Formats: sequence, C-alpha cells, structure tokens
Amino acid sequence: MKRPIFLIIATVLILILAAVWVYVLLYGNPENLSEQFTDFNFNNETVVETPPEPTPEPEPTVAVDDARLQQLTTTPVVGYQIIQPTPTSTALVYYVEAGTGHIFSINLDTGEEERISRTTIPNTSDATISPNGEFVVITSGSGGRKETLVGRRSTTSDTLLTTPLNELVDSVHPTTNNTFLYSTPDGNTMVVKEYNPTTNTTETLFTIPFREATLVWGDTADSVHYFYPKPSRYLEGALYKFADGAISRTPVSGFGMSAISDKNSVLYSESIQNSYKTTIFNVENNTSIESVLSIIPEQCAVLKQNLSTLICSSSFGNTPTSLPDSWYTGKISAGKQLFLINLKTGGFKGRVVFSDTGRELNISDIEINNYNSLVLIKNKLDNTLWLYKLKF
Amino acid sequence: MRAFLAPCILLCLTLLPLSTQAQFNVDFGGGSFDVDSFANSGFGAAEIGITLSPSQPQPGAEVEASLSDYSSSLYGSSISWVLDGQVIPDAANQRNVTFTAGKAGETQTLQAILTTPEGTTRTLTNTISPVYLDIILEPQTRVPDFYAGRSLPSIGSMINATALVSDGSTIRTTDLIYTWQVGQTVLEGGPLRGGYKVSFEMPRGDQAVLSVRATEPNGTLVANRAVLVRSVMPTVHFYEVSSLFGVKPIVLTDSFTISGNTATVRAEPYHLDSRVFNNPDITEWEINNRSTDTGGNNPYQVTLQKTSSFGNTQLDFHVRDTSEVLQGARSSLRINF
Repeated sequence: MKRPIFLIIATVLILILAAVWVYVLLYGNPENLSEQFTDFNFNNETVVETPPEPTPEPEPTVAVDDARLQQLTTTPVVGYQIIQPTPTSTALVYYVEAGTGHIFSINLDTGEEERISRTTIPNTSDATISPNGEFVVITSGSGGRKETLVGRRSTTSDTLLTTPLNELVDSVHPTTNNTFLYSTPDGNTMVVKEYNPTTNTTETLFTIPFREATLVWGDTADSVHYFYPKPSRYLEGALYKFADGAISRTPVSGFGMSAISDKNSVLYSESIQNSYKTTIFNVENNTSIESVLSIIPEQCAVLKQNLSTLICSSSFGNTPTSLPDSWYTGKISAGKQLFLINLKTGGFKGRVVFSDTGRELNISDIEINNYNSLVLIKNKLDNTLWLYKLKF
Repeated sequence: MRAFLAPCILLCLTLLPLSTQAQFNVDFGGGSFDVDSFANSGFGAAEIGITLSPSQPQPGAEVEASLSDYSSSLYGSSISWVLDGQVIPDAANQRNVTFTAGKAGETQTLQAILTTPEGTTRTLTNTISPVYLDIILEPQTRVPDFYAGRSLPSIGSMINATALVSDGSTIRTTDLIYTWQVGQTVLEGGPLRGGYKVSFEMPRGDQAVLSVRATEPNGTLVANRAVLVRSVMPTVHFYEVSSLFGVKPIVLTDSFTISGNTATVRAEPYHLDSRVFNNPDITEWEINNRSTDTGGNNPYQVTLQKTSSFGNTQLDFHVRDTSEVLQGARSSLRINF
C-alpha cells in the first residue's frame, strides 16, 4: 500500500474515534437504567431494598441479671448507697466516683446507668450518701489539705449544690433520719457532731478524750455509739460506749482490737500471741463466745431489722500473724467468701465462695439495704463496686 | 522475884500491840480498811497480812493473793480463804490463792481465816475495788490517710499518752492526780492534778516501760499500771497513683509493671516522725542508682515514662532527717515495662 493512502485511512479512523468519544462524553447518559444493567428479576417481581433506620445510641447499661454476684463498676468508687423506699420498689445504687466526685445511679432492674451529678470535685477521696440519696458528704484532698463539702442534688439539673463543712473531718456516717454524724479532731481529742443538711445546723454530741479514734456508729444521733483507739497489733486498745449522755468503758479490750456492734452484742478481734482471735461479747449479760473463724470486723456489716446477725467476709485458713496492720497497709488480701454470723450463738451459715468469678476479691466497706436482700461490696484491690444478692 | 517480873512486864508490853492489831480499824476518810492492808501499802510493814499481785487488779484480771505470815504466834494455824462470803474451794491451808477480780465499780472482800491449834481465830481482810486504767498511746508518726490503723512509735518520735480511769460507769480524768514515768524518769516534774495526758520522746532501744499512778487528792491510790512500749523502724511502701482516681491502696511489692506509657508511683513512709515527714533533710529518688529530680510539688511522688518497648529498671527512694530527729527510711522497687 502506498504511504499517502495509509496515512489518509489512519487519519479518518482517528477522527471517527474522536467523534464517538465526544458524543459519548456529551450525550452518553442513559435515560433508563435497564438499558445499562441486566435484569435478574426472574419472576418479574420488584424488590425494593431500603436501608435500616438508624437507631438512637442506648444509655450505658450495667450487666444485671440473675447472677448473685455482679460487678457494677469498672472505675473506683469512694462511697455508695442503696436507694429503695419499699421492698417492692426499684432499687437504685448511687455511687460516687473516685477522683472526680461525679455521682452515678444504677437501676438494678434494667441495669441502666445514669450520671446524676456532673459537678467535679477534684481529688475526691471519700463520700457518704444519705439513705434517701438527696445529700452527700464528699471529702477531697489529703492530710492537712483535706476539704469536706455537703452536696445536695439539684432537682432541675445534674449539678451538685455544695456547702463547705469548715472542719477537718475524720469519718462520716449517715443516719436513718438523713442527717450525718461525723468526727472532727480538736487538739488531742475527737469531737463527734451531727450535721443536719436540711437546716444547715450542727450539734455536738460528745467528745472522745483521745484523737486517734475509730467509731462504731449507731443508726441515729440518739443511738448507742461505740469507739476505740485505732488498732495496731503492737498497741492495746479498749472499747468505750457512749449512751444516755455518758461515756463508759466496756470489758472489751486487747492488742490490735477492732469491733463492730449491733444493739446487744459486739464482735471484736484482737492479736494474741501471734494469732488473730475473734470473740462475740454480749453487752447485756457480759458473756463471751469465741468464734472459730478469724474475722476482721471492718469486713462485716450488721443486718437490718434487729436480726442479731452480721454478714462478714473471711478467707483465712491459716491466719496471718500480721493482722490487722498488714490488711490496712494493703499487703495482704482477704475476703474470698461471705457468710452470716449469728451474734447470739456464734454460729455461721450461708457460706458463699467467690471462686467462680475468676477475680480476686478483697472485700471491704459492706453496705446492706433495709430489707437485707442487696449487699454492696467494695473490692479493695481496685476499689470497684460489686453487688451480691442475699437470700436467706 | 523483881528480876523475874521486869522481863514479864516487858514481854507483855511487847505482845499487847500485836494482839490488838487485828481489831484495830482506822478510817482515813477515803474509806475504811484494816491495818493489814494499810501495812501492805508499805507504811510500817506488819508481820502478817494479805498481799495481792497485781496490787491494783483490773476488772476480770486474775489475781494471786498471798498470806504474809512471819508471826510465830500463828504457827500451825489452819488457813481458810473466803471471797465475798463464799469459801474458795481447794484453797484450804494454802498460803496462796488465785481468783478473778470482779467487775469495775464492784468491791470484793477477801478474807483469810487463821485458826490456831489452840482454837483461836484470826481474820485477815483485804478489799479489792477493780478499776480500769487504760493507757492510750498516740505516736506522732505518720501513716497514709487511707490507713485505718494507728501509727507506731519510732526512736526519737514523740508519743502522746492518755490515762483513762473507769469504774465501769464513768470515766475519770481531771479529778485525779497522775504521776507518769518512763523507765526511772518521772515526767512533768512530778504528780499533777488532772494530768491524765502527757507527751514524751521515745527513748533509744527496742522498748521502754511507761507507767502511771492515779491517786485521789488525799493520796489514796486508785490505780496504777505499767505498759511496755515497743519502737519500730520506719519503713517505706510504694503505691500506684492514678492522675484521675487517686492512690490505689495496695502495696507494690517487689516489682511493678507499667502497662501504659507512663505511671506515677508514690512512696508512703510508715511510722516516720511527723516532723521528719513534713520537713525532711533528704528525699531522694534514684533510677538505676542514678539520682533523679521528680520535678513535681510532691517529693514523695514520681512519674515514670517508658523509654523503650520493654525492659526493667530499679527505683529507689530515701527519706531522712539529719539534724533533729535523726531517723529515716528507704526502700526499692523493680519496675518492669
């Protein structure tokens, strides 16, 4: 083929291709999708796929089910309370988060968790909530820089209305009247007072003649209160009682002594010759029963409704000789099981072992509701909050 | 005859006071007691009487009563012990008897009835009024805020002591006279009215004896007691601190693994004198034996940061006073990452 003819043919082809490309670019949109896509609708049925409606993000929930032992929080807590006005009403758990002072509510029926106070109180180290959940006493800071606030939940927002309690507070306890009992050091003594958050008034109840005191609180300001020197296995202590306006000495004493009491009996433990012994003392008839188990009284709580029963934790086969100091320090862990102790007979029952949780528990700060059905436990290892459903 | 009469008269004059002592009761205003118990207090010791050990028993304490009889006139006497009108069984003809002191505020009467071979009877009586005397020790040494126990004394630290006398119904403090002693040293210069509180410095050594004696203003002994005060060496424990949630009250023993990129560790001295804790002459942190500056406001806290993906290092902390109290503590921790 001659060269000029070849060039002419090639040029014509290129022009034709360019024209087709321009046409497709400008006029190539199909009017009907079926022109472009093969129809696989074999039965000639039209199926319309619609994307699902986006659902709103649910409130955070806590796993609450029929399991008797449940972990309620993964963050550490410093105070908690069960709010349940009647046995059949929904039980709510209020807790105060460590470090922030935020207050949360967990509905134990639905597991729904709600932050009811977003007011931040930095370095929150301790908190006490009133039985009706309306008031809270929060302590922040440490040492001489401790500050204590009394908070009241706002009814219109998630803020906490706070009032400073301008005293150095050592310990706080809520009463069944929704007031607070607290102890405050005064020189070489400890003064015990009652604060009414409704009226913002304070009343002095009595003065302890030494400063390093641990209190076993009664239910109200007029109840019997016990106190003893803070325990150490190398120092002797004795149990004193405040009742009817006077302080008196009970026959209970010992090295490393700590105690818990209902109205008629005292369970106390002491260090004796490299062992840790627990005894139940009847206040009315001055008799004693030695317990077969070694129990740290701080790992106990009194069941309500005058049942003369404690719920306690213990995990000792061979009792460490270093108690109670080593438990206070955080060197040893205690509390792999729960059981009930009858203060009249010294017998125990209802032993529950927590081995199936797969978690190590160091039980402390047991709280129980007014109907003896719900038990709150703080795991001292990480200060998380746990719930145990008690069944007699 | 006159030579014979003179010694007889002399002998009679000597024996006469002895025969009347058992019936001679004296009331010194604070309560009546017989000469036997008065003699046992050390003022003109009599030849016969009942001594108690302890002399001032606490309620419920075990008491040993001993018959002190150096008089030859009662040689061969039978002995019967009676407590509150009840004969103590198995104590017949025993010079010692053990019994339990009663409740606080209640008085017990212990009698030893001596019957001579001739048939004459002599009764020795002692009364016991147990009271509680508690000595509450409050060492001015430091423990962390979360520690629920009491701090212990260390050498050179100050200790506050409180004496509480109780008869079971009331606590007595300001109406008594107190005499405190540490070892042989009398504190506060001597007895003090209402001096139920005292402060003293823990002396050198593993232990010291602290005693207190409480008397009525008229000198009647109410209670006395001595306790052994043990001193300990200050120690340091390490705890992990979260910037959000605060300190985790579980001791970091031997080693600690950093899970994130940084971690904060706090050194908490135990039983270190408060004056040393608040104003130490030395607070040192060392990482792999090299001194490091924490750079923060809290000299007892350090923040660690990983510099490689894995490894370990040694963390040391030392606190000490070199000027006044002369005590300190140090500890170390292995850090894994």
